[in-house]
Amino acid sequence: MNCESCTDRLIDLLDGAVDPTEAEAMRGHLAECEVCSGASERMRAGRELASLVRLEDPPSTVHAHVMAAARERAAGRASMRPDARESSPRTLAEETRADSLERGGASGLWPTLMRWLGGFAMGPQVAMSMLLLLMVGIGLWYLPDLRRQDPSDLHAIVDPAAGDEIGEAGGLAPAEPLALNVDPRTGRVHTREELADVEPRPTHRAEARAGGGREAPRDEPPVAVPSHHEEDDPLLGEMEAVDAAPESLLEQRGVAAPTATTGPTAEAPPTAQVPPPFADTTDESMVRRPEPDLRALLPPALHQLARNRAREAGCGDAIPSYEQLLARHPSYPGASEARLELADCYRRTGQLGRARPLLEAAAQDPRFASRAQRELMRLGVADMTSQRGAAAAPAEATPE
Amino acid sequence: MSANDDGVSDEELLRRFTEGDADAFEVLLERYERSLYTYILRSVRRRELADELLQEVLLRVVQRASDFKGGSKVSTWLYTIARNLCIDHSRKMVFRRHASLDASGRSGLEEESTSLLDRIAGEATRTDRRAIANDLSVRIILAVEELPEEQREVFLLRQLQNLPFRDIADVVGVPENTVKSRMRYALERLQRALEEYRDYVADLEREA
Repeated sequence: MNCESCTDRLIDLLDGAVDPTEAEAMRGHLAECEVCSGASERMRAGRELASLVRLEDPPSTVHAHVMAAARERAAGRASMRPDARESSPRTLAEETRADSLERGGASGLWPTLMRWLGGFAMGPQVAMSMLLLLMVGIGLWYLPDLRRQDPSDLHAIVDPAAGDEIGEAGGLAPAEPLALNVDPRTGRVHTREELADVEPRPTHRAEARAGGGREAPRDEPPVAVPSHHEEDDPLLGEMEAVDAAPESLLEQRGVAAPTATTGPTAEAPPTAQVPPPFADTTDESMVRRPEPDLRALLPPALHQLARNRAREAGCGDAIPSYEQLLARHPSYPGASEARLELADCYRRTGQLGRARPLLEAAAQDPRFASRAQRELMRLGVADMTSQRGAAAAPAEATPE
Repeated sequence: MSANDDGVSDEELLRRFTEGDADAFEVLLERYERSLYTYILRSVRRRELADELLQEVLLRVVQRASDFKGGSKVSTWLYTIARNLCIDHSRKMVFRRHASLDASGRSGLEEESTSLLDRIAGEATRTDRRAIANDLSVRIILAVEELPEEQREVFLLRQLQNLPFRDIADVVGVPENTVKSRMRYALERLQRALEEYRDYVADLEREA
């Protein structure tokens, strides 16, 4: 028998609720185990003290009230005394007050009402019920008014008058997409009607190149090119490439293809494959974002990983991460800093010999030269200390 | 079936009560009211509150007697109602726990607890066993009230009503082994709290 099983059964042993075989085994264990025998002794002493706990007598009024309720119940009476109702049990003090009031002879409608209000006014359940009834009552009061209202009045609340808003006044009809297009680069908003009505024309710059004598471009935005001054457009170079909107796209939008009325439009940059930037921004294939250079992101990520390991798990776990980083990316911009951190890890783990070449390499980097030199000096001191200690130990071991 | 002295079980008394025998209920009441009251009093540690709670427990028993189907013992049922009411009240009210014996308002022991330390210190040389016994009773009550709640309720159910551990497990809703562990810890705590009275207890037992 072990201590755990013996301890679990001690209480039963003291109560005499253990079979003789098991009791014998337990006594044998208690004779040999000081810990368990001590626990048994304490429990036995605690039981002796517990036997001195006295029973207390309840007040006689409780007995009287309960028996009165029991007799009523037994007699099969439908109504019970107020103090026997479970929903609002009254304290003995409240009973005494109520009894004295009743005995005092206060009668009449008003005192009775006041007593009733006084009994329930502060009841949270009653207050909540009253509030709920009030809300239901208000709702029912206004319901006929709501039913009598002209449905057009309701629409007037939610719908604007015809002509005041863009789009149809459909009330609760599903909203149509706004007939707007926003140029993300300039922030100008153009309606589809504006885009559809204006003939596409090249910018005046393209006209100048073409040598055409066209008049200056009107302020109306063309199909694919927004009209704005050159000085306002930082991306004018790109806009030139957009001058010639591909006819296929215009046809898709139901717009008549522009007719070449000017001169050599063939001189326009052959960028027909580049679509207008803002006309249809929902087609993701037309909006190309530069792909992130994943290869450039990898070394900093490995470096951060090594730092996290050093912080959370300690230098021992971080050393392989640093070594992997420096092996794969020895020329990465943060390699010198990584060498310093790895050297610090080696120093902390007592591998001074491995720390030194890393520090010497980091010292080649002007950004970290001073720090690397300091670490090298520190390493030198640590070396001397360890050598002195190694020299002292054999001296002490030498017998006198 | 619950054990009893008259030969009539608790369940039989309750059944008779539901059939209209109020005297049967009174017999049942006399069996349990003191131990129930002591359990509640030691749990809530306020006499006025214990009076109210006891009345509430017993009135619920009166009202729900016909709902008792015999799935458990009457004793288990009674103490479950009492325990639930004590827990409900402890959630509503904040019990002021006084760590020192000089705290007041603890189940009517204000004066006793205040003078207890002085009396114990001043009567170290006295041999009045009766006075020491009174002090010991007070100390035991305070020690019981100082027990952690889960140990105290097991201790009281076992000590006051001598409920079997499996019945106590039904009342408090934990396994029987857990109940036994809590009882063990409660006894050890009592022993540590009252260690200096061991010799006096032994003397009291000899004199008795």
